[in-house]
Amino acid sequence: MRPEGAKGNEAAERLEGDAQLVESCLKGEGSAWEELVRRHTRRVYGMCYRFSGRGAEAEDLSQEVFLRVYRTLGSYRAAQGAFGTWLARVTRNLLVDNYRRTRRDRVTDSLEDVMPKVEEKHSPVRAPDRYVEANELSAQVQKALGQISPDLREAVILRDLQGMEYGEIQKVLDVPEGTVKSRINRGRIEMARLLTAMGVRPE
Amino acid sequence: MKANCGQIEERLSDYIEKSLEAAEAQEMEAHLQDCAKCAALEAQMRRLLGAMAEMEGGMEAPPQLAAKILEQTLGPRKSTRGGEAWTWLKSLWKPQVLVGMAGALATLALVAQFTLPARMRGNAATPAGILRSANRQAHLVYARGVKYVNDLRVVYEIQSRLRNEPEPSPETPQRTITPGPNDRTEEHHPGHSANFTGMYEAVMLAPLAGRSMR
Repeated sequence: MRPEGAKGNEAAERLEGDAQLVESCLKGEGSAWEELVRRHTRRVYGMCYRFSGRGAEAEDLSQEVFLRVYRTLGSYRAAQGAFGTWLARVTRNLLVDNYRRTRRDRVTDSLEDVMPKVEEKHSPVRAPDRYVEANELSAQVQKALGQISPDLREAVILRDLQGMEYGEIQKVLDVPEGTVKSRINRGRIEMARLLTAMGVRPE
Repeated sequence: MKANCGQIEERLSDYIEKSLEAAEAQEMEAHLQDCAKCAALEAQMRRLLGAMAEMEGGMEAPPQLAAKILEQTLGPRKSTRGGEAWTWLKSLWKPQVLVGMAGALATLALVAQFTLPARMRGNAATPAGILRSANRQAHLVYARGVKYVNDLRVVYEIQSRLRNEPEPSPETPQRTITPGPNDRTEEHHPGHSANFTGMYEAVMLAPLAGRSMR
């Protein structure tokens, strides 16, 4: 489905570069940290946005991720795997922590969504999210993503929206490969059914 | 056939990603040809995967995010070293300065709104009309000049008042100007917003007060 060869080379180059950057960071080179942040901001933000479904929240979460990375960079071991995988793992752990922390708010939120009060939420007073989906289908996919359980959601995001290999996802989520595969499959099936329920017709 | 729909579902991703053994794949195909329900699910999963593959590329982080992260992590360290350009820029980012700038912009927009339509009024084509309008224009230009100077004075006053907000200066008049509406006037068209009346009065009445003293 993807041009594996080209992607592999790029990943290898990046891996080497990232490890060197981390080393320079630990020696106190600010420019190395700057490069590391610029390289990975998009990816971290993407994960946070897809998981939370809210632009402003994703921004806050991304900042938190990099703050955590900045403080714990010394614990990264290049021998144990790519920096990108380690970063995805830090991001994922923070997303899950945040999800548990705010679950109660979320329940209240979803109750409000059902009530007529929902009109108020879309009044012009509310600041709009900066990120707008490119088309209706993407918006529906994002909505479906938000409706499946976080276990399935994170697996689908890593595989289908971040383009990771199963082996890498296994390291990020710290579960056996079989579990990764079945979560991705289950997540996709639930999302496909949600899309059908939203009136999206299969091609 | 419908008995193993569950098993078919379990292997649907493997089938679509072509990672099944040939025999298993054949079994899947046979089932999908007979079972409309599973076939519809397969088609919808393909559509979903296509949509997500497109979404992966389109995602961009907000432009200021990397800068914010760097400020949060490296920022304090830089300022203790005394990066002058950086601290100067940071000083511009204070709320007082921003509010002051917003106020100045709003006032300039208001001044523009009141001066532009006057310039656009047509002249009568008769000699008397031209003379009258020239006379009027001259007066208008003079009046506008006076008003402009007064307006600038008001802008300056408003700005200095906003800057000193925590410690009100002794010459602060009874009318208080809150920074809230000023913030919003940048976004709305001036004169059409109800929030604007405070500003409007401040700008329009202050010059009058100045004139009556003369």
